[in-house]
Amino acid sequence: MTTMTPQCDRLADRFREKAAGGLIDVKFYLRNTQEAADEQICHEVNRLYDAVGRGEFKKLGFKKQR
Amino acid sequence: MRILYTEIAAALEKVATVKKHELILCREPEQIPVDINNLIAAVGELTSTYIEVNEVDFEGEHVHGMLERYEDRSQIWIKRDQLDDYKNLATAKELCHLLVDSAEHFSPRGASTIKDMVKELVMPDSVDGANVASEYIAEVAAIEILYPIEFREGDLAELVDGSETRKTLALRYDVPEYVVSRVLNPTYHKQISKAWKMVSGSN
Repeated sequence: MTTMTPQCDRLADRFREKAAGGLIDVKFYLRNTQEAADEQICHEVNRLYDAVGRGEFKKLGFKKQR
Repeated sequence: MRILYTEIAAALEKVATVKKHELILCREPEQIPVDINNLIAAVGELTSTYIEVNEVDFEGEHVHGMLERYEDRSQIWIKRDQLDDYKNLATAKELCHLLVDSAEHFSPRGASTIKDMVKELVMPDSVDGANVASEYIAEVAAIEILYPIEFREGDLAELVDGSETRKTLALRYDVPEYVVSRVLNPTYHKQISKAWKMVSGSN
């Protein structure tokens, strides 16, 4: 039986496009994944890319604390 | 996924280089906490990579950050809605991929990587992929930069005599409290100390 994984399929399509555009590697920092299914995580990454597509990002400024 | 001491030691060789970089020098108490802007600059210089770090506004509870590596540049995406200490750790961990990974760790097939990471959690040692092992190694490398091993013995003594708590130590290094618990855990300390001893010129 094949399990439906629409979010991971959608994400795989994104990365195929990015690889065609020069992406050579992708890594993730995941936390609290003990109860998570791969579809949930793929969904979050799709939401990240959707937000990027809408321009909802900015340069991250780190404060100096010394 | 099985990780050899030699793999950890190889990553620590690179970590040692960063710790000695003029922008970091994190074995000196006055250089703590590590300035993440300087870490970005140091890793960019050491790897000859143009690095861009952006925060993104998206909902989620599992994805704290991610890295896209291209031939000529790297892009780090960090989730906006998280505490600053987690942003520091997530950024440092993704930077460490640039530092310690080699071609065998590379894969642009991110959805497959996610599936492998989840599978490894459910069934430990079920995944052979070097790309999954590198996720663990990069986090260790980041922790070893942000919370240098040189301070742990003294910190542990302060924890024992009650003059510091895990929370105050986390604030000192600007890392999540779980990092303090992890590095001061006897098993972690024993294993990482063994790996550090394999690193030439670490002192």
